[in-house]
Amino acid sequence: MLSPAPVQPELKRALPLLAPALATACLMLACLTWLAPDVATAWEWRRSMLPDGQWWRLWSCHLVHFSIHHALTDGAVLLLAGALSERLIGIRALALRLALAAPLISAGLLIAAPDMQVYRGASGLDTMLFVTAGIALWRENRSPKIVLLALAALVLKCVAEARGWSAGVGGLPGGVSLAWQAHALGALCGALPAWPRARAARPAGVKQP
Amino acid sequence: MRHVTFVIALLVAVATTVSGCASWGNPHGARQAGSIVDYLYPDAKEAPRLEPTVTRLRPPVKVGIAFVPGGGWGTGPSEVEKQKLLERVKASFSRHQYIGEIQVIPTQYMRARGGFANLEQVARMFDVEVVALLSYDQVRFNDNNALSVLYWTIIGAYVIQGDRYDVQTMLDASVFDVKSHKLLFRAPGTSQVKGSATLAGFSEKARAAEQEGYNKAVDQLIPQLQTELDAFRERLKNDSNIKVENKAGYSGGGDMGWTGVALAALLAALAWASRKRAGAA
Repeated sequence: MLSPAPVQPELKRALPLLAPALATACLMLACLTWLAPDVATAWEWRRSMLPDGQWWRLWSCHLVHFSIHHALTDGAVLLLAGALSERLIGIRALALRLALAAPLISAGLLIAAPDMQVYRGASGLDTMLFVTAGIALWRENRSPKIVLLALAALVLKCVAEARGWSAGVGGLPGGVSLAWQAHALGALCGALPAWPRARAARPAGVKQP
Repeated sequence: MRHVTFVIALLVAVATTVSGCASWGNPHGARQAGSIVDYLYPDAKEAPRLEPTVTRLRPPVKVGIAFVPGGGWGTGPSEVEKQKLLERVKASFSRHQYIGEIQVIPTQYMRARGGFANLEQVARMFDVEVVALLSYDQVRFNDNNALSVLYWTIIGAYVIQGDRYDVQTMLDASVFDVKSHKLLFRAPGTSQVKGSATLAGFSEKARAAEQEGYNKAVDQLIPQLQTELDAFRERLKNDSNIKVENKAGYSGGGDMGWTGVALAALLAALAWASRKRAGAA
């Protein structure tokens, strides 16, 4: 169900729409939060959201952030990786993946981060989009080695974050911990649907032009 | 004649007494000390057995700072002076993200020779997880110079600076994890203050020199403590006996950071370059 439909030639020429819209939404919500903090509070992920019936938080938490700097970095990756994914797999497939991955990541955090009470940030979806785009590029045989290196760098980044080695290069304010579990779940959401199709579709022995 | 002889003898006795007394107090000096070993291991007759335990730190860590109680009455700086010194240390470390609230613990709560039991009581009372204990050792040497012979003139005792003091201070900050009783890191600060004073004004100047000694030792202690804290943070990455965990109820943020932006830009550049190559071909 999550396998992308074959990309139509006319989609490749179209400018991406969904990714820029989501990135803009993140930035605008961050600016709004700076003026009215209650906005983000109403949309953030909370451990008690399911018992309280606040299901919208499963999706909305990925759009709100702790600071404008936080929204800027996540929005930039959303724009770059999302636009690339949109052009490679199409807007419908991308929308479906985002709609399914968002609640999966949010639900996964309930188990993977048992002590966490609050979560905000689009980086789970960012990681999903990065992996999706990387696998799609590799599938199309476009610089496969470098794409694999980029994916490996992302995995190393996740491992370093899990070990607590990442510091000082993000936009999280003091007192907020990096939720590396969201990145791991996002990577899983990006890899699992594409992997069987990637292995089946990759032509053997075809070298990059 | 007998009257004159008596007066001369009295003057000689007074002059001898005054010129022989370099100070009214201890002619050799004074020592103030608060030993961390005496406080934490008061009855130890053999080295404590160290059992392998894992120290768990949950940032932002709640820290308490306190002076180790001295050995007897009146040893060490006054409580007001101690609070001022501790506030200076607190101000230097409040800005770190991984250090939460810093509590200054008055010495009245620290029982002399109280051991880890007292440390745990104080930690529970002030709700802190890590305690920085400041131990101190200050020695004041008193000497008199050649001019002190003029003290016999009585006026000389108020005018001639015939007494010298040399105050040597050592402060040591040891940071302990209360639950595991483990020493996380430590840092020293030392100072030396020298000066001279008249006989009449010696006590006041010596006291001021002692206070100055503590202040200068803290001036040296703070940057050393910062260096040791930075080294400790590096050591954490490789020390399997210390684990950094999240506090229950923490807030988490998904953040790609500028590293993620760079990786995404690289991927986009790769796609663009390969498309251009494909288009050219």
